[in-house]
Amino acid sequence: MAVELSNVSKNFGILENLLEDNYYFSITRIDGNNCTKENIKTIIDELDVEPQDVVFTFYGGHGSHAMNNEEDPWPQFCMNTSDERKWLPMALVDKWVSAKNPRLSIVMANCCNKEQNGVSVKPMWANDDRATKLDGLNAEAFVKLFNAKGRVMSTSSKLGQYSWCNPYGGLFTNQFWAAMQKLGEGKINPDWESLLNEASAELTIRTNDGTVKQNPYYKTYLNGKTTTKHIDKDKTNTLTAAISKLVDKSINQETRLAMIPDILNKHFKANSKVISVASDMTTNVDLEDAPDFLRRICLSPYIKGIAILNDNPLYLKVHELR
Amino acid sequence: MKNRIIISCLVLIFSNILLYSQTKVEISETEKKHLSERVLQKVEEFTKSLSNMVNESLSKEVRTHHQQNILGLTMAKGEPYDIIIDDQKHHSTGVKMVTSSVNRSVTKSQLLKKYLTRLYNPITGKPGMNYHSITIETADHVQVENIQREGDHYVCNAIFYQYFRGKRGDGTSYIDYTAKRIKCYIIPTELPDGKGFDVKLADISVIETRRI
Repeated sequence: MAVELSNVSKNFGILENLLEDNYYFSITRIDGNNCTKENIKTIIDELDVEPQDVVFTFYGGHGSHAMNNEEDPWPQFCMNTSDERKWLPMALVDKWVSAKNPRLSIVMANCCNKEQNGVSVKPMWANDDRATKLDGLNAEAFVKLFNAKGRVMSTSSKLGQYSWCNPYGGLFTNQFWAAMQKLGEGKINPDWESLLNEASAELTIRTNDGTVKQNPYYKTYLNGKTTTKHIDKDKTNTLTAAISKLVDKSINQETRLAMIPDILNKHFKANSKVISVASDMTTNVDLEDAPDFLRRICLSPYIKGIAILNDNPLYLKVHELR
Repeated sequence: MKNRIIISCLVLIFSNILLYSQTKVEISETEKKHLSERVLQKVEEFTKSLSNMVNESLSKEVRTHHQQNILGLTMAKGEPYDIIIDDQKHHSTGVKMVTSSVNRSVTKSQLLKKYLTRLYNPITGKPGMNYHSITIETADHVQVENIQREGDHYVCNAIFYQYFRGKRGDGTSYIDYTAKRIKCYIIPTELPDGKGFDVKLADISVIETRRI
């Protein structure tokens, strides 16, 4: 499921580049053995959330559902353990995030809502071999989408169903981001109901045991008030923000080149490498020294943004948006 | 002024670690497609930096960065390197650039590092050639040829086209249109989470030069 993390990271990277004039993105990734109920609680507790903020929480992994609990439609996240005392209910995540009072909370999951047996699935999605393009996506549509107020909850399968994945990630996750693409292209109205209606279309999966259905499930609690504010980029100090400025063509190139030593000093080690991943989020197509990478992306007229896919300062993984 | 923050908490489990032998790594057709795209991207950046390095409208600092960028795209950053072909170690003194002229029948091979300094000397800010100023423009699209195995790594060639204009102090100019072939190495590399590839540009040769 590392491809799921890369896939979702890439798509958030696209959103970040499209919405750079409207939003500052702060992205936290956590996976593997760090995925515990306690760590997630700590991360959410420590979020510095202001009233106009949007919090988007995504879980990809194993999920299940307690027996005799039909009144709760949401799955429990299995958190890499078979000890169900350590599982994390999606509804609890929603409660924790809501307690921080963001303007908009989106909690999304791609996981089973039933016990899962691990049956293999034939790929359903054609892999796009081309570089990831930002052309043709309307940032304003996403601004409207994220201007909503309230809560959104969405999960990959309704109560009683498995959720399926293929080598390209969770089927619902891919369907959701395909719907986001359509929204950016103006093919779907820029609101959560329209988006989730498209993203939650019934999936038909051919498994070794026959054809099964997967029905994503969602609920929205929104009242549609809109506000827009300009974001001060100089208030950011994350690597994501630094690289975003480095490839921002509206900033003088000499100024951007002068940022490189500071970025190296703050965010990389002396022997840091940068791995570039192709659009399939699986093929590692390049390996560079960090200084060479930063200079190249600063000078390249073809690169419009960089999606950061992990937090490893020794081997940073990225995907270029062209 | 308040900032809006979008925070994504990505919670994923089961990252599979693939182990593979560093030698004789096979690449799939999908990987070949993505690597071909990567070669195309790097050659385009190479030619763009070449054009910008000699662009007098840019500052000395930016032009020098472009020169370093070109070397950063190449094998061993233009320095000597060894490569294994059919279990034999082959030593290169550095990436070579072959140049041509419509005024002479033989081509000339030199280290890319030296050639770049002749096009633009970062210390003087001027060409090291017998020209007052130089412009290089990319013409036509880069073409990437098939990726093929060469021992424990892969190689392919890419073809790019450029106009070279050299203006002399007396006002006369030399202009030519050249098709060049650049060799690219695709070297399998072991990474913490599985296999990867290191794509680096290497020797450049001349296919054809025409007077304009």
